[in-house]
Amino acid sequence: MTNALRDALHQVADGSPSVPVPSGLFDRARRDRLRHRLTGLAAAALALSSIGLAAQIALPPTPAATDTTVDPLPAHIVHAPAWTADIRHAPLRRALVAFDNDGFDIGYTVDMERGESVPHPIGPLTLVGPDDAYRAYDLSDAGDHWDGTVELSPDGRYVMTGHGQHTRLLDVATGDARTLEAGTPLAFSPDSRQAVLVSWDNPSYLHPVRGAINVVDLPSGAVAWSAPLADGPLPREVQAALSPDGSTLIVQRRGDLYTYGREHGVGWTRSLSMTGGIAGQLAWTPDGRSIAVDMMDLCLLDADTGVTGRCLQWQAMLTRMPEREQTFAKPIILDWADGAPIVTMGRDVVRLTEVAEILMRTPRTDTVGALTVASSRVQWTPRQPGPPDPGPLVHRYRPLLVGAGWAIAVLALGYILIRLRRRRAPSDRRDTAQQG
Amino acid sequence: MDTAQARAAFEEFVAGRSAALGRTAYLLTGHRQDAEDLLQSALARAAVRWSRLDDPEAYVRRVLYTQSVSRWRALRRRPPELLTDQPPQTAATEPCHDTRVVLDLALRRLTPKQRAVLVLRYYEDRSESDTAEVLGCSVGTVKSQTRHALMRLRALNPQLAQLVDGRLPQEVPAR
Repeated sequence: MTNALRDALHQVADGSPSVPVPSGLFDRARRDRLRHRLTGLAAAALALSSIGLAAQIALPPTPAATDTTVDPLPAHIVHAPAWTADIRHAPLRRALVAFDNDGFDIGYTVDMERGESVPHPIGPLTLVGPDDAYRAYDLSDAGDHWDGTVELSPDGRYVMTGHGQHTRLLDVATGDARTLEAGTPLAFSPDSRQAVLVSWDNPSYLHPVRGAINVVDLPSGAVAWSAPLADGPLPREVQAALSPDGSTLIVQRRGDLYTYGREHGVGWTRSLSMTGGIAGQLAWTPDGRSIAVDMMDLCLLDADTGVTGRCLQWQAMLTRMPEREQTFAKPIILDWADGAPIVTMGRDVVRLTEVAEILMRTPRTDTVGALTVASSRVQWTPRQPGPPDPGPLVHRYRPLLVGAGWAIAVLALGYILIRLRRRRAPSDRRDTAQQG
Repeated sequence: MDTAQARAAFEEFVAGRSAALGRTAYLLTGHRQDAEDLLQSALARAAVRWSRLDDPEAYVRRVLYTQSVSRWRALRRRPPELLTDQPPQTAATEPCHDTRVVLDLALRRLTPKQRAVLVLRYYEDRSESDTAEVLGCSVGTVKSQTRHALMRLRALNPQLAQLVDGRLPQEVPAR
């Protein structure tokens, strides 16, 4: 068998057509090898970049479990660049400042029940973190329209925004946002562990105005205790701030000011001029003995009796400040430094000493809305900021990259299917031919 | 060995051995174009590592065999001709009774691995263990592939049955 088959095979081989080898194969092979290596390197770099990109998109950095550091406040902040990353995709260690770039940037929606257009700000909010890190917080996909209220927790970890009858709570350190159903935001507690929300029983245009102020735990949103709001006149307006020990609320409804204790209910009550009000979520002094209220002057009320104590003389035009630096707004307490309050006034952060000192300015060219500062995590000695860091560029183009990834996956799948069909087709035809 | 020396040695090797290697490539593929492609691919592989090869011919032959049964190579192979419902433009030729041509056509009906086993065992006179080593498979696989290949040859043509069974094929008179 072996010899016959061997001879036949040699005959086939000897009678085979010549197989030419082109000249220059040696150099061509080496060029091809170099090209293959470069292609491989490029592919490996591309693959590594893709993996890094995917990891960056999919896995936001995990925040530190306990972050108690204090960061200096930038002396001024700027408009966030157009390519600034969204906070939900690129979280920060904490936010030091939150503000609405343009308070006049508003949209309108039609309220079918009232038959009228209702204005609402559009945003997005700008968050400024340590080391000049800027992030955008787009509220356009939050369900109900943003009503313009925004609060930043004193530790810089959470941002609350109001939407219809509920609150959206953003965890700055993870980028996760959740809904708190217990009402719309009024204030954070001074220790940032609780939030004060208000819920209303009737629609905004129906008399009487009634509801409840709910103190909720964070981040769960579970109601810890509530203070009822008795029937009152339209429009519905309320402000509240929680005492440092979390036991008492200071509540303002139009011209009425009163305290409400968790254990003993309503404490003292007094009237105010309609122009003033509670000086923000940190209106209580850190010792819990006084409450700062704007009464034309910024005055301290005794927390136990409501009696007016020391008042800080200040005017809408800040003393000895040049006109170009003037700022006009109701003061919101951020902190107390050596007895002098540090406040936000419109678009600026100001230390209200005898000669007012501007600590931080927001962009001058536009009206800035909803400026808040993480007061317990900033150092009130401002520093000159560096250029803004808008976060990883990849997050700006995230939709484009995700779309391109899907397109590549679909094309690859289509290519594989076509190849498989082409490979199967000849064998199918062969089988058909044999059956025929 | 510098590049110039390597190039000269490679070209000398190609000039001396390409004809024999081409015949083996033809037996393994059954088509001139595929053989050309296979041989160039094997020689190109040898060229880039020429200075490190102790026995270039053994290396090239090994690449020829392994590449001829490679799945990746099968994927790159030219697509088969499309079958149509149109009649052939040339009339069918008379059946050929030349053993060489019959075997040549029959080899094309075998799988690449069966062809490689037959070429190694009967063209190169290698043992079953050598064949298994070259193809990177077990001796059992070589035996079974050989058996299937011979059975297929027997089934394809009576002339080949005689050949496989060790009898000299008898010429069948043409009709």
